Amino acid sequence: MSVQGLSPHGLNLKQFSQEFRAKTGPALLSSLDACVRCGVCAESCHYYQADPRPEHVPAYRAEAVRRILRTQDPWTRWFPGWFGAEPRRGRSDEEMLRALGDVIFGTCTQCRRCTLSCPMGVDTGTIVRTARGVLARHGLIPEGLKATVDAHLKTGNNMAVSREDFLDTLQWMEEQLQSDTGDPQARIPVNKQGARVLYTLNPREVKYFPLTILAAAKILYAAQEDWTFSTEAWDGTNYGLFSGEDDKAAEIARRLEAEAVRLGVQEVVMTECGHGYRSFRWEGPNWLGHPYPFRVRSFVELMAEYLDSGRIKLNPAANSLPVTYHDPCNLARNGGIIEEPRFLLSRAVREFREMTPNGKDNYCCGGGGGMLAMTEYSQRRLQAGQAKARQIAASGARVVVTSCHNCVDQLNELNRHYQLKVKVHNLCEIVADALVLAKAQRPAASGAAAQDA
Amino acid sequence: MVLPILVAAAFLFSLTALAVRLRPALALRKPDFSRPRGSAAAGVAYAYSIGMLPWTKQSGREHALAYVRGALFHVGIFLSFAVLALTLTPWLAGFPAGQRTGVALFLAVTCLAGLLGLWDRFRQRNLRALSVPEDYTAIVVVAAFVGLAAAAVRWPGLTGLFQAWSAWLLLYLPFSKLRHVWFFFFMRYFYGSHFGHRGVLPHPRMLEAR
Ligand code: SF4
Ligand code: SF4
Repeated sequence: MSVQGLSPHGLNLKQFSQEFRAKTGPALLSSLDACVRCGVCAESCHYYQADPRPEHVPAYRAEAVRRILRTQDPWTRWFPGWFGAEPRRGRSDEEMLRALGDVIFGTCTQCRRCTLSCPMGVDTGTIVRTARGVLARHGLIPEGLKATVDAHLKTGNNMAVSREDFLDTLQWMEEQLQSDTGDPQARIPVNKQGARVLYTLNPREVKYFPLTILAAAKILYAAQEDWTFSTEAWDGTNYGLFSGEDDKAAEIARRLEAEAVRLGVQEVVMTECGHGYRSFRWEGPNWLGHPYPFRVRSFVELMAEYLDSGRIKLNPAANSLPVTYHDPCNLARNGGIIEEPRFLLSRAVREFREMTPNGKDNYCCGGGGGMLAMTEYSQRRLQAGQAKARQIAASGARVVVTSCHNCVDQLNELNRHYQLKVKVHNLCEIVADALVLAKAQRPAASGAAAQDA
Repeated sequence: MVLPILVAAAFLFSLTALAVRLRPALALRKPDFSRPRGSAAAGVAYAYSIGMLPWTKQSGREHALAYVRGALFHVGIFLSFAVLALTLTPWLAGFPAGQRTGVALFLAVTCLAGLLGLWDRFRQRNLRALSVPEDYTAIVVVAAFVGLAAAAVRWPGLTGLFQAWSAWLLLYLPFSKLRHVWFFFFMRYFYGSHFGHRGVLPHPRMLEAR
């Protein structure tokens, strides 16, 4: 299979190499030159776990990029075959780059589990992302991924949800919040100047899972937070992370930054969206070339702080089924958020069971890297989720909790495909169900229980 | 006298070539503008210490033999460079014969470890698929270097041959995968500072606010 997408007009091996090198700082150069092709990273990749063939060894993806670069490397191009340049085999430059596109878009979720396992620390995920960016710049990118990035830039969110639909959903959830808490004054604030927290969403919450908005609103209400949504920049996702297009990713981050500054908030809190968190919290300042004048946290961190400081109280009896937690790669391995969800679950559920391995060593569920937007790779994605499915089954849990909307979608698909017979929920739904509200705040099912219903 | 000068010149060439390779990338070095959650310095310290222990990684646990074999080979390589430095001084001849034989035997064992790696590269499907022709020759060149170091320690008459091979190795190194010897140290630094900054390594921290 090779990537279809648009025609890579004018892109040849030389240009690919030049553009890739132009993005190569010392860390990336070290990743290119430090790999010894020892192959011991094989088992760290969920693709390899599901289908152990050489093409699924992490180094194979990075080598696919290196092999193209070696065709143009002035240090080795006198003996290209000897030093491992990609053989032409009668193919045009475009055919060779399309084949590369299939490897880097179709067989890597940029989860970076292999990086932690590599004795050198080679960052295959970043090599893959950088190469994706060069191909994408020339139109050689799966249509679904391109459309997702473009929709965000064009409409302000990646699912092209209209302003009216967004506001209607918020109003509906506000009514629900008032009914659930018994407090007619309970609000879902919008465009509140000077609020302490600007809260972001994943558009799938507005479109398909509004009850996660209600769950978050209930927790923020219980903590008596001073918060707001923005109608101008509410989508916390950023598929530029997956397409590798730094300029587009930077523009998406810039809009959210500008809105946070305009509203004068002290912090931006990212909804439970792994890649959105990673994009805005960690990569955004570097795409933009400056630090933010406000703080950025995941909602998971904020909830943990509320619980730790006594601003919310939880009753584990509300969640009696055995629960396990799937660490989203972009929160745990790429952001260090490992203890917070466990702290929350230790107070929100009766029985918690760890998967093995977990935390920074968790297996990717297979839904990262923009895979859910690239339907041509659906079968591979489901197969690559096998390691995660095995972990879930082995845990014996009946509920899988995670803190990422892409992970929720993938885990739900794995649930059906591998017949795991579990329920999948965002962490905030479980926390919302366990909330012990003050007298005036009557508890009612709004999180996991309501989603199940 | 010609050979020691050749070795020194080859060494300088090697270092210069590697610096030239790194230089354009250094121009793109930027600070990390994201607010730290952990400590980059602690991450670097971890990456060069505990983080290198095989049991801290899945790869080390699942490929323990390959790790031991590789570690042994690399100890031999560094020891051979020490031997090379000693051959450029009058001190090597001053070591007692028993000690020299012991070192030679140890180097021979590490050379064998390297050759076993070559055997694995032929034998294992994944390694065959990943390998380029230079992977095989690089091991041969380095195993010969270690083997000749052993021979030169035991039989000083072979010092000239060892030095000549060393000069060739140093000239070849920047063009070969062998340059990982240099990039390994950079890689561990970037790895440690990146994941340390994000609070992933050495251990996760809860509640960033504190
Ligand atoms: S990425 Fe690391 S573990 Fe994998 S082959 Fe390269 S050096 Fe070995
Ligand atoms: S980053 Fe993840 S998906 Fe990509 S090669 Fe490494 S382990 Fe596999």
